[in-house]
Amino acid sequence: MPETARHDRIEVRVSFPISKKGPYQADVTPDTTVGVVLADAMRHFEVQNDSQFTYVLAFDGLERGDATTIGSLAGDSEEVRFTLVKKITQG
Amino acid sequence: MPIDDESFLNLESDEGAVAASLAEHRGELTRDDHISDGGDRAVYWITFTPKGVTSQKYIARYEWFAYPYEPPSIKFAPAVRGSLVVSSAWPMMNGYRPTSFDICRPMCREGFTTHPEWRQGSTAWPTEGNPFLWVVEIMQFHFDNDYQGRSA
Repeated sequence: MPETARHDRIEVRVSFPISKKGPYQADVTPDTTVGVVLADAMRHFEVQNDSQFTYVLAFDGLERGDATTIGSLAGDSEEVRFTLVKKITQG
Repeated sequence: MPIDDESFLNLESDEGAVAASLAEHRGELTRDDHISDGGDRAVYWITFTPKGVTSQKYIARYEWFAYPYEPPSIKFAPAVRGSLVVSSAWPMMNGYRPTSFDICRPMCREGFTTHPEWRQGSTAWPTEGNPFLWVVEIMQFHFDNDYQGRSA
């Protein structure tokens, strides 16, 4: 089903509680993907993936794939709030 | 175990954000010394609920030692102030070991004890920002994305 853009711009906010920096915030178009927001947020928080773990974005508790569009998550809302999650190794 | 005043004040400063996050995810936080006189101000009882399985509640006991400098001990109990050696109090999720009553991940004292190599580099315990909120969010993420049911 084609996505209907309800807003021209959507505010995204990414929180990461162990950073010295405040949340990452940006206004994006609805067709912007989670992957783009993730990359930008990682740059903001100065973190990188390595062999031990990867970073992902969670929205409404669930991990979201890189190809998911912000518009599909926003629905009627003008904002989308993510948590940056460090997926770490298990023992 | 007694906690120093600096750690206690640091925990008090950070616990509000933890409580707010838990409330958004159907959970709650209770500090042990708020339950009754003589309770331990270094211990928190945190209730987690897996997304989509709201009938299941899990009670995790966090014990802090030097906050934010050291990770907490984390164990599950069937009830607040309940036994810490009941396997059915544990969820089935990767790295959570009901038979050992510990979590083997670089986010708690037990994990770093099992794997001392995690204390260095990118897996080291974080000490900036709000590590209490971070470890609670990590556990909630596990409940929401990796939950496979209750241990027997």
